[in-house]
Amino acid sequence: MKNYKNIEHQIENALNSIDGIEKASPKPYLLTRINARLNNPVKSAWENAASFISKPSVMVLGLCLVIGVNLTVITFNGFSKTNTDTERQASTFSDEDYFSATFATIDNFENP
Amino acid sequence: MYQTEEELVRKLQNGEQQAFKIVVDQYQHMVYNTVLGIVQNEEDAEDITQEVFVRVYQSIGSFRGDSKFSTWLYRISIAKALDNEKSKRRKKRFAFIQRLFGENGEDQYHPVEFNHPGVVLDNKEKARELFMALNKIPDKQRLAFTLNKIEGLNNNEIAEIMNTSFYAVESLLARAKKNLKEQLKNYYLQNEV
Repeated sequence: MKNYKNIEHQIENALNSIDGIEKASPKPYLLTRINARLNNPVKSAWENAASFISKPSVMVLGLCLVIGVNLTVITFNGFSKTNTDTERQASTFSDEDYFSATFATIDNFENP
Repeated sequence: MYQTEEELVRKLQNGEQQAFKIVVDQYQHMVYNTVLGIVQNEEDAEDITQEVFVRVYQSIGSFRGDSKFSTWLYRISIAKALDNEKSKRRKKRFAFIQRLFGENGEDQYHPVEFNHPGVVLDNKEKARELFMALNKIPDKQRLAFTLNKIEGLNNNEIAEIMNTSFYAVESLLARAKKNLKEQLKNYYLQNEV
């Protein structure tokens, strides 16, 4: 109970600790520093992004990435083309088999 | 020489350098203290204060006078300070990821205890605990509390700055106090006063 009262007291003290707080002052020559900033503006986020992208190392890395992606796509396309040819051949065979089987059945029916 | 807000704004819009100097002189404490109350770091507050005045200089042409100039200035200060907070949170998350990959990034962005230079010596410790608790309550409540307690603004002025109603500010302040009490209670229970 005593501890609880003590905590309540501490809370009140903390909440009242900034009553009558004095104004803080910025460092002197603020205007000079503001004028310096106005004369040398800080780059915007887009300008920062542009200067980052135009770095030689980033450009080379980007180029390698694009070439890599292209090579991967070409390689996989070639691989899948081979697969498609094989599938087409298999499909052709099965179609021929189907027709020959069908004709054989009709032939058998007409000429028993 | 004292000049009204309207006069200053008109001169500033006409590109008078002297008017900009007066604006900086007249409002630097207001901007700096508002920002400092939010970001709780003197270097960041200094940096953001400069950004605020740069923004004022660059976009004074778009100020139409719908609200008071000081209200507009408060809004820019708050927006910039909150942007800084968001950026710090992003960096903290990134540092956490860095830490997962074995790099020690967490310490760099770990918030340090804040000592407000305007608090009297006797209250320094308690104020430090209060600022720590302030960081753990929602942004809107924190803003209302900071503007009220640090800037000494009344509910009407806060309502105008936050673009909300008098009653909404009243409610925000009440919830801020309730949440602060809860945060402080947890802190004191954990740290055995």
